[in-house]
Amino acid sequence: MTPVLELEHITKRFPGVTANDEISFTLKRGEIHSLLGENGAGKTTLMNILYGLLKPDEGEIRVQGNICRMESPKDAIAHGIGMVHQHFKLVPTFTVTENIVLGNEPVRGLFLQRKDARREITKLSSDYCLNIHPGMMISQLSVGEQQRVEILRALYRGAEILILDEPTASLTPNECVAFFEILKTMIEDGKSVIFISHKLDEVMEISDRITVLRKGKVVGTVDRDATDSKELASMMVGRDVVLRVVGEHKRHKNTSPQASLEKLWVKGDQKKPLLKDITMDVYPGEILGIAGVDGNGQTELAEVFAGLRKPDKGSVRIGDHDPAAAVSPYERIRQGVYYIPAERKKRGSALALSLSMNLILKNHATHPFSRRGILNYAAIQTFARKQIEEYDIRCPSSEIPAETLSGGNLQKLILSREISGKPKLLIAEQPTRGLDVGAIENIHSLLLSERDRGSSVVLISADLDEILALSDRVVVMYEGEIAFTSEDPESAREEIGLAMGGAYCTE
Amino acid sequence: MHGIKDKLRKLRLPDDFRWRRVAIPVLAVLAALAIGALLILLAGKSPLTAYRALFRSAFGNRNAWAETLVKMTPLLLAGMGTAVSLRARIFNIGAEGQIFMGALGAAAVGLFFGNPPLIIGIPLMAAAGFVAGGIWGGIAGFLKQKFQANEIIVTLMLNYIAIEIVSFMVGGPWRDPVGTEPFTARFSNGTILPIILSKTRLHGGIIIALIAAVVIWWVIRYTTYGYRITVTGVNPEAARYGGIKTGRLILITMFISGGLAGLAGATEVSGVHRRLLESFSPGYGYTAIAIALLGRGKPAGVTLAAFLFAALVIGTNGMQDFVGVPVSIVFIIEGLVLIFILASEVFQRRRG
Amino acid sequence: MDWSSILTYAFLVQVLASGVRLATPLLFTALGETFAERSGVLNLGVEGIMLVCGFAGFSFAVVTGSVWLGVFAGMVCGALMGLIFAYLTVSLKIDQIVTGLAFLILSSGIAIFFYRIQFGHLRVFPQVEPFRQFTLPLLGKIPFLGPILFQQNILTLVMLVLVPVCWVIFRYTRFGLRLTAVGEYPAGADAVGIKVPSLRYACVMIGGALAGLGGAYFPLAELGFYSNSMIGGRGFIALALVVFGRWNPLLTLAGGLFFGVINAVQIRMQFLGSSIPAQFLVMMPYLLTIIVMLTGRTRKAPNSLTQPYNRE
Repeated sequence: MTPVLELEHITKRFPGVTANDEISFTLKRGEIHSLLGENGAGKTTLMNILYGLLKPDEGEIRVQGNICRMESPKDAIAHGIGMVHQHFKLVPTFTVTENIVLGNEPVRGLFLQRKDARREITKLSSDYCLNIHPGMMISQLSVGEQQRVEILRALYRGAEILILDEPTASLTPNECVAFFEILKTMIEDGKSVIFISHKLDEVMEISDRITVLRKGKVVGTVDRDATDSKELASMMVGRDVVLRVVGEHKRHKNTSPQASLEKLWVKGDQKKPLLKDITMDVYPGEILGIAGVDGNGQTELAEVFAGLRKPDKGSVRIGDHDPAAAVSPYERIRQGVYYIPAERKKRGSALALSLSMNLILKNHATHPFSRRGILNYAAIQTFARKQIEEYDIRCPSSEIPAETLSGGNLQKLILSREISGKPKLLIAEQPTRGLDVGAIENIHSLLLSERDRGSSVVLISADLDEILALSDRVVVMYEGEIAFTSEDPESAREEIGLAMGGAYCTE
Repeated sequence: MHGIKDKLRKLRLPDDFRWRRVAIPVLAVLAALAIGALLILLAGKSPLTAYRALFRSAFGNRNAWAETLVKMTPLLLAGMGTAVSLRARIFNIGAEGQIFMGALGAAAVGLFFGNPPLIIGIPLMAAAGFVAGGIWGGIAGFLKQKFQANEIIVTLMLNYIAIEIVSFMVGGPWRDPVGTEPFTARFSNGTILPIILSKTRLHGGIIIALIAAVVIWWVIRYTTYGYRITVTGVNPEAARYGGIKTGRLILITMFISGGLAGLAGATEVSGVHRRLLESFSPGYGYTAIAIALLGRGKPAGVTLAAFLFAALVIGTNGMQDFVGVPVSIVFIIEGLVLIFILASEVFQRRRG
Repeated sequence: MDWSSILTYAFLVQVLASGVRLATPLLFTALGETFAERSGVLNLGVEGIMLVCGFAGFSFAVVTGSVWLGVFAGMVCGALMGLIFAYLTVSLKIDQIVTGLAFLILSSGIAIFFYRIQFGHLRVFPQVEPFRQFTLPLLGKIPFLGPILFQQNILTLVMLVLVPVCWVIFRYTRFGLRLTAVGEYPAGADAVGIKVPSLRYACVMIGGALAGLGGAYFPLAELGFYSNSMIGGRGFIALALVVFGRWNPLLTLAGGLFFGVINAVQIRMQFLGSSIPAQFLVMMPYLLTIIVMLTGRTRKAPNSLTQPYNRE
């Protein structure tokens, strides 16, 4: 039987790197075929080519045996290919209906036929158990619901082939289960799925076949039943991999907390408060892991610690300082609070400026970088050179703009800056997101040595493995509340996972 | 094959960054002047004659040079003011209004402080101009910081308001009692900038302007305040995260920016007119924006751009007087130079 | 100042009718700019477009003898200027604000220069016969609203009709949905196959054409002559109106009418010899605009406003 989709010798070159190198790949009807690889392996580039967002330098695409040229997403859609992106491409201020019909609107003359669209969407939603109401605004939907809107959109356009790019990245364990059920329903209906992921266990659970990419090339295509996680991992990375980095866990005893939050409330613009009645302590010499899927109040929590957000109720006490005083980010830094933000490029750095200028961001007004308001460039550059060497930041010099650094090196730069401030409280928010295994190991050991030095580290992460590997204690956040705490995280893995999914929610 | 490629590569013009940085603006100016020539033809005049008049008016003799430098003074000061705020990514379009308020401040000193000696009068007059312009700029800064009011529109509106205020003062309370014309009495001698080149109009203001340019360059490059402006301009969110008090920074920067423009107004009325009158600024504030953009915020560039535009203004005035080409051609040339340079930057980026 | 002549019904109607008239150029430009901004492009140069197209329209009217052709020329000129602006900001991706400023400088030069060339030598400044004011048959007879809204010149009536038309376009047509998507989240629009640059070009050109219409209003619809001080910052006030109106044509209309009435009041007060110095009266619209900017919540701005779109 003709495969429903064939990619033959697809090659795509960018200046300096070959993202896709002679990739060949087939998709059979009714199968879930996973595309597995690390960040930078070429998965997203390949799918962008398939979806018409990029044009390949060489190679052919065949749908149902016919050669197709994808000039734009419209062509892909016309051939029955639908894509659910990792970062949803939904317009937040539009309703579900408006998003789904966008680009393919039912019209009479010039005017939109909203009613017809609504009817069809409701039908599709119930056929596939997606449970989405067409009139809701995207900004009011949860992440899981938004993803179902994207799926609905692909189905509305008659997709027979679905590309799912890291679909479970933002889902809770519960939502994942529901999502896999939806996939099975679609397969039963005759659809075919390409499932892009870097998560080994999921891929092992759901796939029929798996193709592993590494550095732009296909390493191999295997049947799920004929392989296991370990084999896949070594195909992905090219060497035998230790799947987990574990640090020696410490217990603090009888010291007073470095930082405390007491009955903290943060309201925000929506009806739901961003943080509800948070009370927690962080002790020196420990890593406190804050587990939770992105968007449950973790960023706001970090911002409160760092002085970037004022709580509406409750108090924040850092060290011996007065909890009642309204504190600016500048003062928090002086109190020893340092923060590695999740948004490396938007918040953590000024990309157009040089590495050395970025390194002195928080301490430019202190000795030795300046005196009485005048900068000391010699001291700044010496410091920069030292940091670059110590943290092994790959760059030709300290004066190049930060935007030329790779993701891993930029993160190392930011970490080196924060750690050089000798923090008493260090908050690391999603510190290894998007980084490769080598960089992740690096960052983990840096966090562990900070803890060993005696500072308090708050690790905010959506990666349960990372949390369990590094944390001495764990707090789980769900919808702005503390859903669960554990003094012995390794033994509470299942509860932590459930709590992340809202099982222990007070409502 | 290989050998030929190498030989061709050697023939290509040096990709040297500095070469490109000088060549592009020069080419942009030439291109703008070429289009200007077409326009002059449309006006029924000979471009050759017109441009000769332009050159002679700006550079022809000692007096011409003096006039060009006189024109350069307010342009350089206002240009530096706008450049400072641009560096913090604040779009201060209010230089014109700040110039007027600065002139008002200078007039207050020039008219009501008796007749002080030069050594007191000049600094006092300049300080008054700086403070008045600074406050005017500070208003916009305050509204931006407190209410997130878009500074482009606020500063623009403040321009119109400032012009009306000066018009009122000059036609009413401060009017020269001797006549009925809308201007004030002559400033006291101690507050008038002395002429520094005999038999010309070149007054001490140019020295103030050049000193200000150097000071600002130094402040931006070597002080922590300058660092903070730079970071805020590049990424305000990172600046705030880094502990920089961006609200206060905006306020201070708008004060300094307005102050420099105010100084432009002060030196102009003190050194050139020696009294306050209604329309002493033929749009210096708007030309200053073009100058700041062309100079890319770097004081050296701004100085050069100010000189160039001053020459253009004087030259086109001469073109109108001697050849009859409407003086408004200067705005067309200015606008074209700006657009060409902006467009060329894009093509540079693509190649690199 | 004679208060008794002010507080009469007739005066009120007069002022309101004047207000609607004076609001016309503001609203044409504001409506046009709403299209541009909702698609993500901020065009600071509208003041300049009004200047140039005011002249272009007037000049064409003088040369051809037809005011209608002048209006047409003004709009075409505006669309062309919009095309150039779109090329610079959408295709070349030059910073929108900087380009707008360059446009301003260039436009003031072009308007004055070409006016001087074409008409500078004339001893008497040129004039055309502007649009006549007329009364709509049935609607004009409605008490109070009739004289205010329906006894106007044709361009004002066009403006009053254009406002609800624009509102319908944004809410109920495919074009409106797409341009809003492009302004809110261009990556999302691109992912469904909408051509982001084309839509932005279209919207900026519409904005230019309407700004051209706004610029041509005073010379062609009311006064019959041209002077470059006619615009007097109205392009910028229109920009403020777009924000005030939250990018919604109906609210923008309210704001525009309010400004028009203030303008009318200010003119009349000057005329009636009020004791307030003329300059402070002239200041009023500008002061008002600042106050408007303090209340306009830019949080509801189209998300991608001023950001060029790069497909990554």
